[in-house]
Amino acid sequence: MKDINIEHWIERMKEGDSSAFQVIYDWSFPEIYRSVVFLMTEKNEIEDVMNEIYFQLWRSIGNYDANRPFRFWMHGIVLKQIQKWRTKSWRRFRIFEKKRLLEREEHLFSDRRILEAETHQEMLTMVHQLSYKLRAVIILRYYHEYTFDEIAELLDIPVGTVKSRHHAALGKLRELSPYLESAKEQELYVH
Amino acid sequence: MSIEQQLRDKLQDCAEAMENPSDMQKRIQEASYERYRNEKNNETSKSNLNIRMVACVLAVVLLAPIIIYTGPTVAAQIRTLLNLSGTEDARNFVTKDADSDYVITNLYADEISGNKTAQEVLARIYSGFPETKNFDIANAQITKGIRAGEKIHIFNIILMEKGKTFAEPHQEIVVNADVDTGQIHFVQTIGLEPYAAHAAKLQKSEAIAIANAFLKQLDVPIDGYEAEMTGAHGDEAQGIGQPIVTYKRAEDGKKLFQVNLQDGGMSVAFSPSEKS
Repeated sequence: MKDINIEHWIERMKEGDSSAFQVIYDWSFPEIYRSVVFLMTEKNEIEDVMNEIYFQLWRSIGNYDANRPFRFWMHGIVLKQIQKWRTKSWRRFRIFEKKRLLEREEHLFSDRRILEAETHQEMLTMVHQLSYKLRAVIILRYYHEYTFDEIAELLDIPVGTVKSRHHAALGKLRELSPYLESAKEQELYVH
Repeated sequence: MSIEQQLRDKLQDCAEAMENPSDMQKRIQEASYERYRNEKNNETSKSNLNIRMVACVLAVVLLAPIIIYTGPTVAAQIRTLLNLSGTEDARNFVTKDADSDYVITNLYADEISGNKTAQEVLARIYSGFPETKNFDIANAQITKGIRAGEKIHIFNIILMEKGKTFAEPHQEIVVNADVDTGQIHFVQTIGLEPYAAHAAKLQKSEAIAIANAFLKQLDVPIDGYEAEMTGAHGDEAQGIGQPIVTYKRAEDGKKLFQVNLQDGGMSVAFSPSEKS
């Protein structure tokens, strides 16, 4: 994600400059898309969620506080919309349907067009085998490089909970992956 | 290499290996932008509607003495006037013509909380209609200047049922009051008790009873006034079929305020000499 003078484009967007939408959209799309692919296991729903994310992003952008990083604010919207979708999804499906859906989660991303290499597919499959709560912490920590405090703020949970989820996620990943090396216990808490 | 570093590297590689779905990217851009623009347009329309409504209510207040004599209900006037194209969606808008020069200013929340008249009006509304405590302030404005040669300084507020829009059935109360004296010029309620579902079918005694109850809730004393009904069963030409109850001072027969009963709503306009 290349750096651009986002405040400038936000100002232009607020003034109704449609080219500013285009710039912000093109700049943010790859990162948002990748985040959503990492966080969501249902490929068929990604477009709907992306639609919702961008709609919320456009309507909230006027409230963006320029004193804070735009990416952080943007990821907050992404997580909120995915959480909203998950809540809706849970309501939509009856328990047994939900169970069935979860059972076939790992096959939903078998479409190779989404990834270029098998090893990457394996990585994605492995991440998707984590529960959403653990997965979100791993993605925010190791893909977006957020601190535990920032993750706690983004997920609106205590820092202690973030750390325990992080610990549990690493443990689960070690079980799942033959090629991820085990690490010393003290390395689990990287700040 | 630690597990953390491996995760960083592999997630980064994995992300970079993802194809950017250009078709989806285009669809989402168009869909989300269009949806946003639609919502923005709707908001603007709603905002313009609010402004027009308050402007029209003001017009009605000024016309109140005329209305008392000419008959059509205040609500009917408002609804008719709402169909006219109106003012701009802005913080202030100025009206100037041969005998008018006034500014209407949209108020921010902190200006409402810091305005004595606004707080008095809200306290009175909440006291008479406790359910409105949960309502949103849909619009609040102050109008100041000269209109039709008369100096005015008026506070207008619309409280609306939380979560509703003007476009759908909702409960609402509109109040106009003098900023300097706090006197109320006009009140209109929609969907708030008391009201008649079919106002035109009311008998005189029923219409007066509802009008009295409405005034009681607004804490308007009616002792010493004589209520008289026109409209549905009175002068059809005046009331477009819906009842109007006028209150005259018993001692000299002077009309002082007028309650209009509409289906599902009520309003009262005070004559200039007798603001509540």
